Amino acid sequence: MSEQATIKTSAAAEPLLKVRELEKFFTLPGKGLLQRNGATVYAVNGISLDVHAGRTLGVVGESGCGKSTAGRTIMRLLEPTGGKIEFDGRDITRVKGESLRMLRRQMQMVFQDPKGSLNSRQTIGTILSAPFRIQKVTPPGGTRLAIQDLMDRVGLNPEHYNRYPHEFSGGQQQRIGVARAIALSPKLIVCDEPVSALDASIQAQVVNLLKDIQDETGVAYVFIAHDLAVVRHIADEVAVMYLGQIMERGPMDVVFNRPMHPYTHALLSAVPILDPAARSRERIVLSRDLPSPLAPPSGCVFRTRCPIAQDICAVEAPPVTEPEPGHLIACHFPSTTPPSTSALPMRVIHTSTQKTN
Amino acid sequence: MNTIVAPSLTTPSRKENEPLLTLDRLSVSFETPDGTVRAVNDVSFEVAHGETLAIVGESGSGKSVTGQAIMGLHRKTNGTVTGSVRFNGRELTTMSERELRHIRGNDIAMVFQDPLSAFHPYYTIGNQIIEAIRLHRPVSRRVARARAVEVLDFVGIPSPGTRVDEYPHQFSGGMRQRAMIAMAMVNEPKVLIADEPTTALDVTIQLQILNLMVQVQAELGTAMIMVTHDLGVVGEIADRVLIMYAGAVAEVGEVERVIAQPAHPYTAGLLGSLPRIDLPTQRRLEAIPGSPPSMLMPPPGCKFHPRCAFRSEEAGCFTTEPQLTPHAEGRSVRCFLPLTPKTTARDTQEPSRDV
Repeated sequence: MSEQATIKTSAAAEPLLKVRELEKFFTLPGKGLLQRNGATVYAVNGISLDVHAGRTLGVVGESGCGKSTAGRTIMRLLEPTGGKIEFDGRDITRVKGESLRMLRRQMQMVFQDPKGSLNSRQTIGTILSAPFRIQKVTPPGGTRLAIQDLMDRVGLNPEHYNRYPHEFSGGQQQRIGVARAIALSPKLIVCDEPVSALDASIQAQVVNLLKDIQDETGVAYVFIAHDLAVVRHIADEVAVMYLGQIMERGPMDVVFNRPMHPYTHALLSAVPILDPAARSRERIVLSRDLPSPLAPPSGCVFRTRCPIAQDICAVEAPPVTEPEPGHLIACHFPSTTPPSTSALPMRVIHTSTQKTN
Repeated sequence: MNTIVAPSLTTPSRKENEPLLTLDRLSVSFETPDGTVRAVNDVSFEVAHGETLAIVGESGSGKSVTGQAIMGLHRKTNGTVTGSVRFNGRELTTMSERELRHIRGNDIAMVFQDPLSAFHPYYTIGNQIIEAIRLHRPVSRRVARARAVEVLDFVGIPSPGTRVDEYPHQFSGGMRQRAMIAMAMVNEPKVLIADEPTTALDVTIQLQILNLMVQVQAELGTAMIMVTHDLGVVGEIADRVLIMYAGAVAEVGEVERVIAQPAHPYTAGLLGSLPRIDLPTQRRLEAIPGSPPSMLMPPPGCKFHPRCAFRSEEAGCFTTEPQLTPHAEGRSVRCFLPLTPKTTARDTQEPSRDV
């Protein structure tokens, strides 16, 4: 997909999914009998996203950045604390009961753990009939035929209709998860780390399957993953999350080729590269670990690990700038130049240990 | 900082060209209620002084079991180990447990994937490192403790003087892995076996740890065996790579050459299925059809033939198991029809339906 086309599409139509200032906080149990006044985890802290019909938004970030919570909140598996979710032109932030159930026809989810997301006591046939049963949909030709067609579409042998999940390999179990998600032809599928539990050769099969289904049906994906190479392969747009907030988002080619947030620079430079010729490249080694989402840093949440942080970063939350249409950066000092490694608090290993011979 | 020189058990110096560690036809099998699992079959390789060898494979390929077998970790399990592991001219597989204990953690050390379960939760990090030192060195607790603080400082633990008295759960994942590396390097081993040391870590932390391991290696001149499923990690730090499939070595050679010109169809398939962040084009991933075989009932002939696009009846892929044979440029390949630049360019078959 050319970059120009990407920008054109995002500018043209109204997005299928529009998330604005979404918040999801969790309150931990406090001390005392009533366990009140516990600490608050700011898991998702004011994120805004657009997903267009038939396209893929990749959401990347390290563990604890809130990407999975964001996915679950968008799916309305979790109650949003604040903000707004619009799907297909409709506000779904607070929908309940029957209308929420109806919404699930349009929005589905694929989970990380293929085994854990399938009921081990049910046959594949029963598992795949659930969407039809719950939504009271009778497909033309009957449910059984529809299920066998689904199995065929995801590359499973339809004759294995009566088998149980444990009789399938991890890759095949994930195919079952995908089949269940596409059963009712939803407009959006939230994929939460759908391939990270799979081996490389199997991972490629599932990535290709997801792409084929998108080409076939025009479904949109929110693809949540920590593996930047996979996301780059499948996504049209990407959002980089850190500690519950979006640091940078925009068209894939723009964000990955010309990143402007120091965190995106660091994240991309940390990805191990297969070609040994790339060993000499400059890498940005971030110091320390992620701060706790219980007490996010003041101002910019990334400042404690940021190589170019200044005094203002501790005081003011960074403004969101849009240097080109659709490319948004939350940073006081955005730049296409990677932060210089020499300016980093990178650890210089001293040699105090002497070897004896 | 004061230098604490721990007396090292010096081994007679050997010729540089003699391999430090040699595995010869090592096999490991386990008895299970469902039958015998032949986890590792006839694995042979050498590791030279200061070299980094990466062992790569998917889950169940036998890569971790190989690493554990070198350390003699299957003695207390129901695993049956055959073949030979020679370290510095000494045979490890027949060595008494008593003798082996002098080598474990001293000459050959190990870093595990999950440091939370590799550390004992009831003892402080410091106590565990002190134990590792005093097991092999006749030094006082006080000296050992100072040495523990020193190595924790070396691996980048902030305020090591305080953190030495903390428990494993008080460390973050990245810090625990640093402490694990500190414990492994404290006796200045000749060989460091790292089993997926960065798999559980985030990418920015992974970079810190890989950086650290390279620094430790440069500092101590240690040879390293890096067991991993991540070819990116191989590309970053290994000199040579050994590709395992279904318990056997598919291919071994220098990283540059194996990546530029894979000779085994499985290696080629693995490389083709890898999404690349460093290449500009959005090609379709060339997935390997099917899934790895069950080690309870491996297929006859070449274990990769059911998934291989280049299999041939005439060559014997269906019936005869190929042996690891020398290939061009110091490489070895277990394949009747190793790939050449011509065959690699040939379009592979469309992935067939699995199941």
